[in-house]
Amino acid sequence: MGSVQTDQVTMTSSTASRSYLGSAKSVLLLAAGAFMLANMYLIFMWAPTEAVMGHVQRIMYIHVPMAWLAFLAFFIVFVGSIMYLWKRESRWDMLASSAAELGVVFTSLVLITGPIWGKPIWGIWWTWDARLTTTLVLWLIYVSYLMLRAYSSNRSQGALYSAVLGVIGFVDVPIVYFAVNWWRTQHQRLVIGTGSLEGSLNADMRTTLYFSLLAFTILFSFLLWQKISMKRTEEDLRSIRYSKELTRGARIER
Amino acid sequence: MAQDTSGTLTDASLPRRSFLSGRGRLFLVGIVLLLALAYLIYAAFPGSTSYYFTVDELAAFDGEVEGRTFRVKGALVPDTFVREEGGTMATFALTAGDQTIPATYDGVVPDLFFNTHSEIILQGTFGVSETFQADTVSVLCPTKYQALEEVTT
Repeated sequence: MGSVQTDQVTMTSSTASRSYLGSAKSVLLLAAGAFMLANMYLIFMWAPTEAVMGHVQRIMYIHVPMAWLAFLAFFIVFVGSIMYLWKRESRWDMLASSAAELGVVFTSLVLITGPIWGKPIWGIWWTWDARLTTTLVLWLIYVSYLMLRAYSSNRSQGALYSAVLGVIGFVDVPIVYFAVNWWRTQHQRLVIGTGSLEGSLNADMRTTLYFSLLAFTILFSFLLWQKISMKRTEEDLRSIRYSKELTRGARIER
Repeated sequence: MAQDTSGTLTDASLPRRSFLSGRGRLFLVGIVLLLALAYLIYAAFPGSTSYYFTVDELAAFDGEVEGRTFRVKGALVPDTFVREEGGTMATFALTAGDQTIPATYDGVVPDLFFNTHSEIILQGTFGVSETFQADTVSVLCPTKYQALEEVTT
């Protein structure tokens, strides 16, 4: 009886702190919405039209940030997985698995927006060059991460195995990133960041791209947060159901 | 330890034992996966630098070319593109360095094929003559992204 009361107390306090966090989350959602609207303005109205590719090139402001978010997501999976393997606390698993789901979504979008850009410019939808192939491998790695979790006989085993994959799978991220510099590819070389060529991107285009990266990152933070709180709620429901079953079991025993 | 001595002792030690061996097995699987991944990456790109040859590299290539598929990159030689009357068969020449190769392609070329900034990648084989018969034509993106106004003014 006493233990039940303590449970209720802790639950109420955590609910209170969660509603406070909930309003912070709404602010993040509003910020994401505002930044994305501004982003659309910059992409379609403000950014200059590319000299050779024309309007088609504007897809870059969506394609590149999505690839960046995929990398960011898989980095979070990597960190979360290491922390889970070390501490064995379910919150790290929640972080890693939530990020993995988002990473798969964004990698899928990269693999969709890429060919849409590729067909009019390259003349082909797809080719097996180093960048495209390693990106597809990246997608397969994290799809298998999700499958591994879904098919595990129990949840802690799924968490453990997927954490191992989450650490190993990350190896592919720098390979995807540097593929265009390490090997000859069909794909455009890096235009911003480490290893990019100086002056390979027009200044206004660069500004737009950086803004888009920021806007998409804010959106990503919101989505990740949302996903984690969903997982937490699932966890709560599971433990409530479990404790109910325990009491019912106790009653039957009595 | 693992023998069937009586009851409680074995039961208590079992979960711990299986946990440890489970972790050891996991570690082993991890190592194997890592090695497999490393090998696959290594094996996937042995001729990694040869996603394509440039025209001059291909001219210097001294291996067997008969029946072998190549990708070759070069710039279109101006005024060499001729399309067969009433057909889709096109002949043209690509150049890189001080070398030029004649090529044929049956099909529709990409929009940016004739752009002076474009570099073209052909995938195909050498025919009986020294002509490169392309199955696929693709255009490399420009390495520099410039605004339309920058270029026109």
